[in-house]
Amino acid sequence: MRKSLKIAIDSSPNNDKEKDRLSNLPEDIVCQILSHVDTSIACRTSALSKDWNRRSVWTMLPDLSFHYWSPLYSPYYYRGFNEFVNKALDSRKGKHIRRFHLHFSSEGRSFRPSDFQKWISGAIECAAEEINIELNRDSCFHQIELSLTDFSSATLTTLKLYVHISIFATNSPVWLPKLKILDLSTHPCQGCGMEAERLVNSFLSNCPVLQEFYLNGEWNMMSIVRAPYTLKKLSHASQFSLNSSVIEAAYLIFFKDSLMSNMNSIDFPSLIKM
Amino acid sequence: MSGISDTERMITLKTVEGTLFDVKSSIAKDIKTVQAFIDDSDDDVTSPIPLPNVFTRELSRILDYLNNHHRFRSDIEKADEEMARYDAEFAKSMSHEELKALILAANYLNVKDLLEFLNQTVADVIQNKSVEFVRNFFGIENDYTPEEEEKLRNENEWAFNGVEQD
Repeated sequence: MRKSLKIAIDSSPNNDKEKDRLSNLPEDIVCQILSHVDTSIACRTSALSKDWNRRSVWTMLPDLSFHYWSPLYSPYYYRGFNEFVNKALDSRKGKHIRRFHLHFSSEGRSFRPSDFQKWISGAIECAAEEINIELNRDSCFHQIELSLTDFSSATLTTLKLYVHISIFATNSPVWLPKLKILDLSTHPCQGCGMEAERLVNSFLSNCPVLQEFYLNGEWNMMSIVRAPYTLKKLSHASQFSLNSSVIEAAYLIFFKDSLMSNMNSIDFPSLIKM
Repeated sequence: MSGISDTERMITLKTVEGTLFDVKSSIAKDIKTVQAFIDDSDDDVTSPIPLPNVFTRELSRILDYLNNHHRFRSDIEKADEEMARYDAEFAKSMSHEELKALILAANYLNVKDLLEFLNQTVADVIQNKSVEFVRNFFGIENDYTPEEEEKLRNENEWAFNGVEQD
């Protein structure tokens, strides 16, 4: 950089000045740009120059986004990925992250549930505001089982799980005081009945400011679950139908159920017809 | 949208080269740096507002963008579709140097939506490109020896390869 400045002073035609003006975008703009790319791409900026490596710009970015795609089972490739995710999370220790996105697609069953737990807890330790996980069905060796309490976080506002995963309820509840959007495209441990109710109940009664709740998968619930009065949007897609005798939500303004053929069975008092 | 009429108050902006642009006050609202200048002035702003960091080419592009977006927003039905088409053309019409110059201008003028859009455009450009390409794009000089660079790449091998290794 110093060198290019010198050239601009030595030979001063306007062209060079124009070029110098553009040779480097300000760091805050570069950071804004890099927050739109995958973390692996952002990491490559450490190889741009010694100065970039020293400043380690990629570890300052508040958004983490990882894409894993591999058609075959490759322990080597998976190990590299796991190390990289852990390293990225380690570099954020004591800082604050905004988003943690993980998109994992593999036909090779390369994914290990224990790694998954570590990433989730890592993101929560970094006070993430948004966690968004997508895994395809064949990514993992075993069913992933997560305890509900693993998700407790004082900072999380959005939790989206598009995962072939089982969440099980524990005696100590989940606590998500800031959660506004909950998207569970997954299923409870035992599929239906008591377990599903306990889980949904636990979320609904421990997310006091929840606004949007999306429930997709095999959630069969029988008894009433009371939603926080902040809930405005509820969407449900499953082989089991859901109606207002199952979820009580006084201030709901949007409701969608994939199986709902008889609209008369809905009885949410504040609902605006879509 | 309301308030757009022939009698709408106009504001004059002056670029580095001295070119004058007349801008509707509803458009100027989206240019936060200009709006702050207007808000800070006690009287009505009648003389041109000087923009010491903004060149004619960039200002003309920015005003084009804002005018078009205002027009799209006044027609709600087609807004999203037309805006997306316009944005795609807008991004495509610029060289990398022009794109960077526009980012600097949008940043100085604090035009949030446009800056966000331009940042996304650059992100799309560099998303799957080599280190050499990104270096070139940002105008950064490589001061590594090949050995040093190799060592650094090995530290975060997965990020640098991003492709199947086995």
